[in-house]
Amino acid sequence: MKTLYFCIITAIVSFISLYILSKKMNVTNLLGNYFLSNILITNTGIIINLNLKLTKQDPLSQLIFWSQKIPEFSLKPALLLWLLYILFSRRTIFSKLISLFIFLTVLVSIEVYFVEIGYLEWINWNVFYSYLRYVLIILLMAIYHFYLEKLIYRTKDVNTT
Amino acid sequence: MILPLPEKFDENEIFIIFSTVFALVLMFIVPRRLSAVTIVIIWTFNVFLALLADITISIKPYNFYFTIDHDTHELFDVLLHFATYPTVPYFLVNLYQYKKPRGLKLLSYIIFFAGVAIVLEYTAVQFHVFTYTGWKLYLSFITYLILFAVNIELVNFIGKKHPYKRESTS
Repeated sequence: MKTLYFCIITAIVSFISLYILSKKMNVTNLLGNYFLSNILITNTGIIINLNLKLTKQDPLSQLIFWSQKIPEFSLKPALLLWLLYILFSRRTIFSKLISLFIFLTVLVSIEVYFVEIGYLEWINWNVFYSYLRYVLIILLMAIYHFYLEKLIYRTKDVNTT
Repeated sequence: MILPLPEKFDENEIFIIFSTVFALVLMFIVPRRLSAVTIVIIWTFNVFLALLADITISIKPYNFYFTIDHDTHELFDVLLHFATYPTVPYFLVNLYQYKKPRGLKLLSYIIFFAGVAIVLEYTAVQFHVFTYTGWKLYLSFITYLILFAVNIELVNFIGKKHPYKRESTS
């Protein structure tokens, strides 16, 4: 139960951080990428867990289900969106690489934490695959962000002409 | 398999293909009143909603219904989430842009579209696209009322920032 409360608290903090991010980033792009991050996390998660059976969890426990579900639409998207913001900011490539590694490690750590407390079981899965999963997600989000930003500025140009 | 293929290609797959193609063709026929940005956001939002619902209440521990043939996430589920589901909200917000009803008219408009969505869902149930194992049609109706209201709120929000302009730049 403590884990669930912890997840709820981190969810509140995540949404507050997203509100702060909305002041720094284009709100339309932020919304689109929030939805996309959820889509990608859910889709990859369900393929890994349900289809490929590379991970396992108690299917009947609501506590386990919600403890993993809440970070999927709060903490994980918030981390991915902050990472996206950093990657598209005017930082040095070295600083971006360091941030990429830190954020991916935090994302993977969430899964490792669930494995440690027995909420999730890795069968043919490991930390390296988890890193790959989030690299793929952030890559797809970056492509979406890039083209949506282009579309937003094109629409603005049309509207001001 | 990453995305399992249908156990057998039957009525539910045919229904999904037919309804998706029909809806997409209709999308290109009906005049558009939304900016490209709004369409992208509305589409992404509705894929997100479809997945949020299906991967929350249609899997264990809830298992209120299942889609198509498998308990797993199959290829036609992806088609359903990414191409079929978002078409109804697209028509809802696109048509909304014509007259922008307010108050009671807006409520009637949302109830009408929720009714359309229920008829479509009922038809899909007959074709075994959805198999209810505890879910009820009236619950879908309530859900559609809320989701369609949120869609309209979202299109108003995005529409203010990225309004649709018919004129070209030339």
